[in-house]
Amino acid sequence: MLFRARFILIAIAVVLTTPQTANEIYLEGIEEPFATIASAAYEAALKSDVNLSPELVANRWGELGMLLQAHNMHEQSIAAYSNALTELSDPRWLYLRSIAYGELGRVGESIDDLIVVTSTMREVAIIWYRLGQALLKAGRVAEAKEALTTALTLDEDLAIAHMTLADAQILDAEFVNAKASLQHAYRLQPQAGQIAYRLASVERELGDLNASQMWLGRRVNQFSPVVEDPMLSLVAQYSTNPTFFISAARRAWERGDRETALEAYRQAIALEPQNVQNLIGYTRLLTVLNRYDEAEKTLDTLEQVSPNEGMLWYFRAVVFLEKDLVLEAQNAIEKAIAIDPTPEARNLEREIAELRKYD
Amino acid sequence: MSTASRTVHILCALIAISSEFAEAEIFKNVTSASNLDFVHQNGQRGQLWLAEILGPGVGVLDVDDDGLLDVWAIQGGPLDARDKLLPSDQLYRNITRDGKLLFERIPDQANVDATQYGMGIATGDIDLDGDVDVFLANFGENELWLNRGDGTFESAGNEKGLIGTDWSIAGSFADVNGDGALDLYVVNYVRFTTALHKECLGISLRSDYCAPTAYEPTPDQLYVNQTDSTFRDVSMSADIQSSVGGGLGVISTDLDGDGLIDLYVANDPTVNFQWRNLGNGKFENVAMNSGTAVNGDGKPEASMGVDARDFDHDCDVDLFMTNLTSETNTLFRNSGEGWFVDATNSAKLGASSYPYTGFGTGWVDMDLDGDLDLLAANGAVSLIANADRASELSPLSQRNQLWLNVGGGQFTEILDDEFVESVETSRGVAFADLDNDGDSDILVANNDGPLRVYQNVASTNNNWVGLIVKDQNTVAYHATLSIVGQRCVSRTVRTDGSYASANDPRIVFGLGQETIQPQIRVTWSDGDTRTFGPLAVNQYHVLAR
Repeated sequence: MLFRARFILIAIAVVLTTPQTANEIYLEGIEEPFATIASAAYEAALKSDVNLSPELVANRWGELGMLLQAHNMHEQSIAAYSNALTELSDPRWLYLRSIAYGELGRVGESIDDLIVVTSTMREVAIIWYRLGQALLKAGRVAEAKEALTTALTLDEDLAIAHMTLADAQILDAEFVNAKASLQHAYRLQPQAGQIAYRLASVERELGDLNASQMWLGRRVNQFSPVVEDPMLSLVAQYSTNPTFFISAARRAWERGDRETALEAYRQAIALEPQNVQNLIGYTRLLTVLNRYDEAEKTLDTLEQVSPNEGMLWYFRAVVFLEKDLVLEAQNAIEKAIAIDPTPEARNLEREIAELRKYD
Repeated sequence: MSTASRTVHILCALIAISSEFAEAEIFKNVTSASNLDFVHQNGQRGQLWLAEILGPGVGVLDVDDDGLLDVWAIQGGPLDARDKLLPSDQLYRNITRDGKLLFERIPDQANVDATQYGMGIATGDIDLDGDVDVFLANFGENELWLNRGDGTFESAGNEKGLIGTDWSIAGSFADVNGDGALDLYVVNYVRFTTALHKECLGISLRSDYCAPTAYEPTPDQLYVNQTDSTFRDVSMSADIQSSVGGGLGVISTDLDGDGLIDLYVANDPTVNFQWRNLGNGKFENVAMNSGTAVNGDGKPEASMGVDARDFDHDCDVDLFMTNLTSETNTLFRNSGEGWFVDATNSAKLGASSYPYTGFGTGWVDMDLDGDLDLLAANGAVSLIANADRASELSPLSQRNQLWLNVGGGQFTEILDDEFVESVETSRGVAFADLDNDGDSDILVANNDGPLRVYQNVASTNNNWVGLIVKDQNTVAYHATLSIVGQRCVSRTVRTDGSYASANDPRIVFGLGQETIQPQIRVTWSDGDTRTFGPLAVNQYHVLAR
């Protein structure tokens, strides 16, 4: 209730301080510390002095939009970006608003924004890809193909654009073309299971069931091709709490986006470098991905923070074992068990003991 | 009554229509006027228990054999302190007159004292005595209620072999082994109790309901009716437990056209199952190879409700399922060659469903023009899904959706309608012609809210023919009906599908402006085929052998 009252006051303040009627941003009910940070950003945007340049005011609204978008508050981020665009027509805010519209299934509005963005930022392949993807969702297949072709003209290595172009070709029953697009995408990013799955579907349509089975076998995960989108990366950094990053890491990991998961962990660690659990979680991901050198560096940090942490010595043992340093691994696991005899550590101890028999 | 049809004495209440159907109102909320006063309680106490957000479904069945479909409303109640006086499911008799939907509570609940925490309902005549029996899927022990034939029920369950204490969501009756008796597939979700509850956070760090992945999924069960109305659990021998997922929705129908009844299970959030009936008592999960395990991206989705009909009139059964917000609902078009294609975007069903979490769903010919339209009842499962409306009283509420089949395999969303405008936490939907005027009305079960009844008021001057298919004196499940002379216009008798709900067992063919009395070909599930008619339009007929 106090929070609501606070925003009523702010709403009154906006009437007094801003020349134009801004879209209201609803922040009630959100948790701390995000609530504090978001309300401060909102207040700053609302209280923008009339003497400030439109660019600066627009930036304040745009940054609030990014903060809200980073926390999946898409409707509110749209309101903030719209306020920014009222001040200044900046393709950055249009682009991010189009993404937020897309998240809410408002594809028509997303397309409208993207068309404007592509008219001013004609050389950015990722934006043409987003337009193509949105047009495809809207069933505007011919226009989607055009946009995706433009994206690929600008960046022929954009695997996701090849894959999405194949989707458009499939809708037009152009299965031979779709197969070619997907094979191109697969050459670029063979680790993306979504490409292999589509190739299985296309081969089925083309009547080659053996090839379809082969591609199904290559669908080793459900990952889409990796997309590098600097603007969205910027949005992702607009979070304020390491727990958010851990949650984001978990979700990224679940959807198979390993790099994003690792990046989210790095952000969390940067915000809270003494957090033992985050360091352990990050190490665990690195060892799963066989990135033992990076894991070792993280363990060095962890040892400085908490040398008596059982999992530190457990993962030391894992890394030593990977390097065939069996004796060192045994010493490490014994330390781990002395601190915390978890079933995981006991299992590793047995495994190491077996290996020691052959030393 | 061995051969020809007999007309059921039902009047058709035709209502004037707008010439532009897409702009006309279709469903009108008549809950208050109909005296349907049921309110679901989900037992929430602030702990955000997973079980409190998944129910309920709703069932329609003709309890007293008067030709009007009655309502079985499923109740939840407290999730803890279940040693106290517990609320029961409620039964409502349909006493509709002159096209005005009207219900009354059945005195003494027809002897039903169903006080388990309810989730879903399945209907079927398990003892072949001509009346409809009821299976209740519960968070707790499942229940079986046998219809005594006098409008009352008696509890049976453990003695019939239907022992199940896993958290069940839905069931589907189908004669999967061809012995003439209805078998039962039970969909189970995850291993959860209030004691096993976990604390989960949403992305904005708000406490939120856990995703089902926080808990261990439990295997489904297949019970074979031993033809003496007792059941035997054959889940292991039938290989049904070779795949395990968090099951929410189920339909039984012949998906591959081999004459055997297959099963399709909508899982949350893991891959869906397509259980191919091998005909030897065993089933094989062919979903990955047939393209129905994951969406066209190759990603599993969090599927809730499901239905199967031939929406594109190409002589095979297509699938539609409702999914979680940030996923689209998914339309799998049957290629007719043993696999399915994700046709969601080409059908223009993708973008509009993206913001919503769908539950109850079904193909229904809303305007009786002969093609199948679509409906989804929506409601979120996590607070974060509606973080933008965090201050609202019911943060899980979402609006519902209707899509009109406009031909060419495409749909258009209808926005101006009382069902669509209703913003509640909707779960199960039962489809039924409650006023016997030919078009489908709907019952919507809301979580921790009132049961709604929407009357179809868009009755055009289109013609229709209604059919009740019987084998001896009981409803002939999985009989397939087609209109003679029209290619691939067919429907299969089922009451399952949607979400945790039991639907009208009758078949209605919308005929558009066609006035010629149709002939109907019936193929019973054992392959026996007969042709009936010509049949008078705008009334129901019983087709029996």
